[in-house]
Amino acid sequence: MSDISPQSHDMIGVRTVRAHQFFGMIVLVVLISLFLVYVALSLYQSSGTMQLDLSRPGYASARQEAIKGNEVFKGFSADGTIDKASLNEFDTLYKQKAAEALIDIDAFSGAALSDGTLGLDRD
Amino acid sequence: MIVRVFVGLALIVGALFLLPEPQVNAAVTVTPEVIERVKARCVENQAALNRLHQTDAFLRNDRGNLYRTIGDKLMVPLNRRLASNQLDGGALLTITSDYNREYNRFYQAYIDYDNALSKVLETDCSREPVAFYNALLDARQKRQTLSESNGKIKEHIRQYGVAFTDFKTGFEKEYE
Repeated sequence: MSDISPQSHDMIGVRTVRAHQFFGMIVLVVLISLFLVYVALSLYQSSGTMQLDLSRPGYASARQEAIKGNEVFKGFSADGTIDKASLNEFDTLYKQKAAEALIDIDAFSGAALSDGTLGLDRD
Repeated sequence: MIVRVFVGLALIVGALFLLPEPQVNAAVTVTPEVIERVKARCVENQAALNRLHQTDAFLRNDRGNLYRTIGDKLMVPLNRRLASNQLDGGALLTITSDYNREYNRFYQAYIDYDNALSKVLETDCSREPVAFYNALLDARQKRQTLSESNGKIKEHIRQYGVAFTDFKTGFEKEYE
């Protein structure tokens, strides 16, 4: 039969924790920071930021292309009166941007992943 | 007490991220011929898909920036200016609202597509040709959704241009 009672077991445990408070704190801090990093990376992935992040490794060419066309567009002011001049100004700006958007590039066309393109429909 | 609440909240948030994502696997029977072709063209298809992944990332950034510019720097300011001048821009407002809603769909559709294509790229086509082909089918479907959403955004841009021209014509007739 052991001489050490449950109470003295508790006492030893408490004493051990107290004796290693600093070490315990370091472990706890590391665990909390790992958890927070995990949450941050999960948000980075699930929010869609990762998919738009061209600074990822392997996207150097895409990054270079993106920098080329990085001009500042002021846009149309939300303040002021509406008259013929302001409507003409908007018309010019809108037509310019709409022409860029409506340019006939085959963005995200299904053909890129088709069996034919990947050579899976023939030997 | 505050620490307990914080730890509790952190555990709940963490558990949410640990929930498994719903698996959407197209149950398609892959023929032995297709399996052989997948294996035979594995290396070149992986390279082609990698290039496509990069091109798509650039295209998504480019188109996304352009679409946001049109919405935030042209449509919304004009709608505000019309409202502050007590002019009726109801048609323009409706199109802007539809446009923003479609942009959100486009945003989500790209995330889904990119995840699907990443899954294709992660699958070893020489060892797991069936899984590769199924992942490819899934990515193809997601790309189709993305393409449709992109088309709808372009249609809203066209509609806004037409509605603005109508407004401008009416304004000039009425005030000048």
